[in-house]
Amino acid sequence: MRRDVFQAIADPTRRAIITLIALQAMTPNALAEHFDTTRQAVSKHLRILAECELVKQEQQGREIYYSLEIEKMKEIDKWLEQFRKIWETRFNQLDNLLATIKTKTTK
Amino acid sequence: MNGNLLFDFTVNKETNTIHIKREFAANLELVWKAWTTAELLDQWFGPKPFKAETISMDFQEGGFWLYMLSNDEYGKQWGRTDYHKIVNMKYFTASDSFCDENKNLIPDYPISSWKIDFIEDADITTINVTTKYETLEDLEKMIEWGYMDGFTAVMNNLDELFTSLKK
Repeated sequence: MRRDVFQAIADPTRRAIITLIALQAMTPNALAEHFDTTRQAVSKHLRILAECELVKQEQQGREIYYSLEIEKMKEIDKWLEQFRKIWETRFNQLDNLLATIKTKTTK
Repeated sequence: MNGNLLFDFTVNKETNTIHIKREFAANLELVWKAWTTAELLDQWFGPKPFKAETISMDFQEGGFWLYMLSNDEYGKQWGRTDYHKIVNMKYFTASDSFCDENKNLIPDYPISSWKIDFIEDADITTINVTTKYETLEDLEKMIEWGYMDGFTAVMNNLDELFTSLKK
């Protein structure tokens, strides 16, 4: 089942995990130590993140290291940036309209 | 002149809220009119190259604005803004979503809630816009439904154009 990226990052612990593995790949044990929680709890979060393709796994010896899929994170920001641009365009158009009206009414 | 006008855009991913603050070089009455009358909305609301066209406008509590956004390449899309609370010349709150040409909301399509307030200070009117989605899932739905497909494609085209012009 593919999960919503946004739902995945809505959880504060998962956001914190993302921040850590953005800097360096980490194992579930290392993450569990960091959050003072169980390995199972961390694994559950990692599974959710993996389901929406936000993390990639790499086997090194007997350990699995998790790191961040940067491109996926950028999707969210890309949408927000588009949204911002749309409003920026609208506001510039409104500026022009207001200027035109003001010119017409001051005679 | 435009360069001096404030434009603030911040996103709070925890509360699914987007805040926009923007100054306009015009008095309150005119800026209010620009946001609340069909005549003026049609002239700026459609982000170029999209054009906005009012089908019907009833700016009062419980009323709504039914509009169409169209572009030769990407076709038409209808939207409606339902007005909830209006305090004249101060603020209004509304819900906005896409709909079909008979003003029926598209089922499962996200509805965003808006609050826009207006403050005038020495010939500059500042608007504070707060828009909220129910869940972050709604934001993603908008991407999935292709709300942004048309806009995104257009914006990318514009980006490419500007980049190529700068060379």
